[in-house]
Amino acid sequence: MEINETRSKINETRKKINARLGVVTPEIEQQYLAYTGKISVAAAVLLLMSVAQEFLGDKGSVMYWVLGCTMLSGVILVLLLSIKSIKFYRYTNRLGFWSLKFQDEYADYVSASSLRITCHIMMFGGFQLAILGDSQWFLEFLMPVGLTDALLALLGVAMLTHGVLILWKLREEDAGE
Amino acid sequence: MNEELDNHIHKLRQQHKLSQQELADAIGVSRKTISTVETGRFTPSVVIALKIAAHFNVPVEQVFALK
Repeated sequence: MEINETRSKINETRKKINARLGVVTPEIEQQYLAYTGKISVAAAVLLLMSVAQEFLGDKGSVMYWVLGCTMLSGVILVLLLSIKSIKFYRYTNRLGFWSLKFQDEYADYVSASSLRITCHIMMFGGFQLAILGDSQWFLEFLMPVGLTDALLALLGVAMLTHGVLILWKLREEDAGE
Repeated sequence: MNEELDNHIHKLRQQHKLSQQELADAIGVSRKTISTVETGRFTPSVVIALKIAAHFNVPVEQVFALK
């Protein structure tokens, strides 16, 4: 019992020292990854709602306003998450801030597997749009939205997939302590 | 779930009265890494496998085994 208490105290002290020294711990990496997942989902909602609004066209309808409110919520959420993620800026040099590559194996596995699927979606969708983009029948098929909106929708789906996969794999479960 | 790999981390933790967090702190990974390895949802690298085995002072075959 005493050994466990001593061990817990040592770990707590170690965490405090790490926080003071700005050491990137596995927990910080996972928190940062979870933030990127949340920002991806919020940004995806923003993009998809803007395309849906374009598709709907009728600016006087209730649905148009509902989509507008959802978009506004998305903007606020992205801003809030971005402000909250400022705490990670001090780790920019060491954390996989832009590369999304992490020291913690599980965080890196989650990041890599979600990026892999996102990349496939972008490549497949981008290829389709690049091949069909100039065809008149395709542009008519897309009406009332344009090629730019189709690209925004593709980006939205890719970002949504990225975010949802990260949040799903980092979800809290019964850990079997 | 890994269909090929079995592990005895939970049993070893109980024997040593260690929580997942304590084991994670001891070998320098996140608790999530330990919990997903334990439940077979994530297969760790050889480095982590060896670190876990070294922490419990047993050969790695006593921690991980093929089914």
